[in-house]
Amino acid sequence: MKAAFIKTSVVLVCLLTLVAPCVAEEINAQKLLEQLDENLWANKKFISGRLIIDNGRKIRTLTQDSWMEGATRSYSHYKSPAREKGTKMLKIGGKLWMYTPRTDRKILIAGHLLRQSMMGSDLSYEDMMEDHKLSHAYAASVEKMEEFEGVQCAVLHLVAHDKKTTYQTRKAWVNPITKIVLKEERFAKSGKILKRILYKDYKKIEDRLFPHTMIFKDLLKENTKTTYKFDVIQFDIEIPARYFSQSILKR
Amino acid sequence: MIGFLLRGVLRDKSRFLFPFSVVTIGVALVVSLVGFMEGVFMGMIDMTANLDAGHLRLVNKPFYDEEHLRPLDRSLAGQKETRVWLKKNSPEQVEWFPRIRWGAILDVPDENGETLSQTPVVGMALDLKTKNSMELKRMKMEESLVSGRLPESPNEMLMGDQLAETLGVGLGQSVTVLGQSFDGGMVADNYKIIGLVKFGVSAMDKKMVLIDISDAQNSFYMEDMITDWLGFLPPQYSLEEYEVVKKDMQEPLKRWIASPPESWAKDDHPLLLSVRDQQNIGAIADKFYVIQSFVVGIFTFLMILVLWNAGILSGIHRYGEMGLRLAFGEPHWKLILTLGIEGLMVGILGAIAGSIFGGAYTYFLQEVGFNMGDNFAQTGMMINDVVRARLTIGGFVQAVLPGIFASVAGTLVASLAIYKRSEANLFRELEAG
Amino acid sequence: MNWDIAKKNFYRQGMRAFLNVLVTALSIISLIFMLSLLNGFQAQATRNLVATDVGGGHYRVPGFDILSPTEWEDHTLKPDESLLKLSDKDKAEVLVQQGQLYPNRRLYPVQIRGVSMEQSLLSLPLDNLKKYGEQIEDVIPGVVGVKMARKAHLKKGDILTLKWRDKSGAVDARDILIVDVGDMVNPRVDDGVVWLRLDHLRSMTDRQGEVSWVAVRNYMGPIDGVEFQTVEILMADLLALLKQDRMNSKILWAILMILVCTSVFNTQILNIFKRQKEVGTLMALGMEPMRIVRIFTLEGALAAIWALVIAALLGVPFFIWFQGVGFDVSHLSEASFPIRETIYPDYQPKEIFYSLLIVVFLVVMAAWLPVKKIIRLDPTLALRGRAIT
Repeated sequence: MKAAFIKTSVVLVCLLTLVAPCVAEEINAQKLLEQLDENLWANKKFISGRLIIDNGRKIRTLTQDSWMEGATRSYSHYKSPAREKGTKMLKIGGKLWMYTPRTDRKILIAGHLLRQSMMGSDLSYEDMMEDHKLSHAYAASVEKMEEFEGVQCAVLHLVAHDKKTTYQTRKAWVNPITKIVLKEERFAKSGKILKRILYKDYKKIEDRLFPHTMIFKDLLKENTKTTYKFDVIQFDIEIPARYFSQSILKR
Repeated sequence: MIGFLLRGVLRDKSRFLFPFSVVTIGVALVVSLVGFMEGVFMGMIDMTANLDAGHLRLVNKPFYDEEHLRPLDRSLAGQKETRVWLKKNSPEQVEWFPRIRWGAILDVPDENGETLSQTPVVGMALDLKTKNSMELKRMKMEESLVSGRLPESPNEMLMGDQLAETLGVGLGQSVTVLGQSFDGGMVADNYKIIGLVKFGVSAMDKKMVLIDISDAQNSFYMEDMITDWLGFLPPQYSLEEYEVVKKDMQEPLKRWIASPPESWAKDDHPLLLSVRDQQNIGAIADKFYVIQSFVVGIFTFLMILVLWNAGILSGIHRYGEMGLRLAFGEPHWKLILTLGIEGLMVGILGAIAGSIFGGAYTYFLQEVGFNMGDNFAQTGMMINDVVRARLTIGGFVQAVLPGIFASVAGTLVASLAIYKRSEANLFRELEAG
Repeated sequence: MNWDIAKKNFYRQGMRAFLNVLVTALSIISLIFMLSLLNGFQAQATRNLVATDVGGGHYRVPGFDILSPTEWEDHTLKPDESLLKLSDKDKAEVLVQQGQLYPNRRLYPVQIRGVSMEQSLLSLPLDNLKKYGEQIEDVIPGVVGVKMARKAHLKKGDILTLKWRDKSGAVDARDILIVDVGDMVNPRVDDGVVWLRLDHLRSMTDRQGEVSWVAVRNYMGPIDGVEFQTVEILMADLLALLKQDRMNSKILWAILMILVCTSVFNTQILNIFKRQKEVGTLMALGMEPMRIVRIFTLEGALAAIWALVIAALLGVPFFIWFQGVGFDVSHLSEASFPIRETIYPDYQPKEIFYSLLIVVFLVVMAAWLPVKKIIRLDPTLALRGRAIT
């Protein structure tokens, strides 16, 4: 019985390995992207994590709690270091506000500020503003199959539907079996690579596979790196309504 | 003898008044002219030095290379250590002051605290809170303050009056500074506008905000860090002497960089600059001195010519006297010597009077000045809109020496005519005159 | 007869007459020189501005203000047919956008200016851009000015990243090749500016056929949808500065003239003092005092006339020499004066004529003032040399 099981397994593994190259043709890229979104964008989730910002000269670590509802509403609350403690960020209705206890004011992030880096990280506030699921904003096609960190990935080529989308093209390295993304690259309209994001430490939470580390890199800058580590992730939790209201932006 | 000559000169209106007034006018003109030119030029140098460049400036090279971007992440650490080093390695007359040049976005809220406008500003942080500090005096803070007061409590800000007008903010209003800290983190801090300043340099009045250095270090999380050290020498030191001090400090600086303090980043490399090295002041200064000596030269030349005329004029009045004196057997050289001494006296008296008039006028221009409007706003030069003259010892020297020289030379040249005439001829003129 | 007497008397003054002439001549030369140098400065600065930026004025999108950086990026439009019909000699289409350059992988905010390659209205050192086709190949060719190159540490042949946004707001970036570091002459189109081909910038930003302004050679009358900015408006600050400079040089010259007039005045006093017996004799012989005044005034005026001659003799070679050498004002380019090279005086015949007229008038006045008292002279006292003391 045992031997039979092993035999079957070996055959299965061989079969899978053999079959993999043909999968490219069969993968429905758009479908895969939707599955990816479903996995990442739970309707409601809570993340407690650390933002580790390395600007080439110094490394800073920020801890934050974030509550998200879909891709359009989010609220983050920074807990440390002391000087960022109590800083809040709220995204609703395509607008981004920031509150800092030091100023005791809510500041609209717009114009000039939008293009600046968020808290000195490799993300701009604009990156924060992204409020659509990938499958809604982009048309996907499978470019090729490629091995990435030992995993055979489908490289999805994403092209924006709307001319207004900040990044007109992206590439995502997706494991077609587990439906998780391992690497993402964001491109300028011309095709020049601007940002690279690595998704690491996938762990199963409830019935989803979720990354516990994201590494952002702004490729136009030298020696900078931002690592986002998720320590606590909860899905489908109750989020108090006031978290997504401007009234939260006070002490 | 001298007393006798002096009384003679003073009593004879015709041989005194004219050359005297010419020397007076000439000296007064040169004093005012030099004062005016010095005023405009040194005003620019001082303005640049005080507000921006220092007589000497120690700045981190990575910062200086990208100065226009005000990269706080390229600041120089080890403020206390640097202060000690500067004290030890520069002449004791040099006073060093820390500054932080920063840039940020100024968020102006409406009455509900919602963002009304966001504008990029340039900022300077310096010691504003130490009462009667040299820094305040040098920046002429008291005089420049058009309303409000200087910062006393934390997070108080001074703003250029024209910037305040553009932003539509006034005294007492709170604004938020949004920028980047030393380590790239976000900075958001409230400041209260408690004073409006007008330096008269439109380039600054339109863009600049000033805060205290400790507030800046607090807001931008730059503990023990600054972007610049500005060194100032007492006023009597000239531009050339700044260079000497700078040169003398290069050797110790090299040694210091070779064994840097622990707090410095790997690529930290302080540079020592003089005001001449910055904003092309060196080239402008060289040109200025050429033009100035040219102008003073022309004036001196003209004054000599006019005085020559005056000398002849007074000489002619006195042909008779000369004849008489020669007839009494006074030798020619003695006659000319006394004429020369008289010329010298007239020159000295004229120079004194001229210095008083010219000096008074220059002093008036120095204290009051005259307004050129904001003509220089876009030229990017640190020229004050109100141009002021400057009384300098050099100005007096440049005026008095040629004035006296011209008077003596004029008399002597004129007296040559006496040589040419015979005693008889001169004597006849005495009868006639 | 007046003329002959005056002439004779004038020459008899010898050295002093010559000195007065010399002094007057020198001040005439310096006046013409100062004014012409300022003219030259203004003409050159204006020419540089006109040649590199302003043309004969701009037709701009209303509300475009380059000094408020947040505002102007979207103030672009497709220019009116009447502007497009102009030949390439008479118009230059310019599109200005914001961008971010990454020299040394550090961010440097810049103005990206695109100008059509066919135009010949503005002269910019962009020849190296012309070699490239309308389509952008692997890199975008760009030109920067000397000043910008120094600040951003760029040199010819450098390749670095330029980032910008297209009309819809999508982010875009490509490598830019610095095909030339040109002498822009005008810091306003140099400092913080990257020059590209207009067709490239348009396709990069998805603004086909659009401009921020059209510089034209001549005013075309009002055109719908755009407003005209004259050369004077576009260089108002510079004109104000030059006006101030002119004022200053006139004050300097006025002081010079005071000295000249004093000298002439002085000479005249000396003359009548020395020659009062002559005056007395003439009066005794029945010459009208007015005529004597005229003779003496004429004598003084001769100084002015000779001064004109000497000024011409000394000045013309000097001016010709200076025209060859020029005045180096490269130090001014560090400030944002639109001038970098040597400046040459610009001689304006009308201005010179009026200046000379003023000098002659002043000298004649200075000659007349001291002699006018001859009218009231007592001939008997004058004969004895005791009328003037």
